[in-house]
Amino acid sequence: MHIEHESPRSGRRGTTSAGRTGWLRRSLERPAVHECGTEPDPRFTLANERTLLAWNRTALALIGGGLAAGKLLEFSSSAGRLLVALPPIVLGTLLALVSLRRWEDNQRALRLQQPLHTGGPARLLAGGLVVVAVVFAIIVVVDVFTR
Amino acid sequence: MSSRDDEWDAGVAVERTALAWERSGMSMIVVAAIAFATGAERQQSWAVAIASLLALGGAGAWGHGRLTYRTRRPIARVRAQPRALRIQSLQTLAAAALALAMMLLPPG
Repeated sequence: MHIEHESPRSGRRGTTSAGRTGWLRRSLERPAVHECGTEPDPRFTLANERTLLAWNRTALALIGGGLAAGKLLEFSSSAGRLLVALPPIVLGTLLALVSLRRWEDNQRALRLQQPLHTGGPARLLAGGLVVVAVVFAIIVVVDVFTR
Repeated sequence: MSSRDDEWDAGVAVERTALAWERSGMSMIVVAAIAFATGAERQQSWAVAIASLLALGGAGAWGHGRLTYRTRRPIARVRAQPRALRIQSLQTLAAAALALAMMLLPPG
């Protein structure tokens, strides 16, 4: 059975069978943001844009923090320095990718007058920060006992 | 909300967005400065060159915010800017790639 639907993730009319195709294919096939629906209230467009920029700054803070930690903190081994610097940089990379995707989904939802998505980068950041904090704690404890 | 409130809110929405772009540009410049200093210390000349380009990109984002939103009024003419936002996200990804390469590659 084929059910007609219009999703902000696809941005076009499709069928449930189309939902089984891969994420990359769906991303490439979907039309540009400004091609679906109608122009929303400019205030919502601006709010969506500011939200992406805020996530981008969060990603930059993680990247800069990772770099600074790798440069300034001293560990007994170079592996310790890498393990402290890399997780926030990787988390920042993921955040930049997910937030751009989220902006596109939300802009489509605004144009199609559908509800906005929840979760996404916020969930990633919360989970990622827990992982980074645990890794930091383990490295610091190990470094203290191996000096 | 009265029409006057709408007008006021629309005005500050544009201003808030201009400020968000300017803050993003400054953040990029700060990260580029950290990468520049780290690259110079580790004698990675390629990293210093890329960090300089990122700083220019940050200045570009700062200028984009000023030019686009300080001069574009009324708000009814505001449209989504996918290209500018994608460029900003790509710059962030480039900064991340630079940071990863600097950490993983040995000093020059």
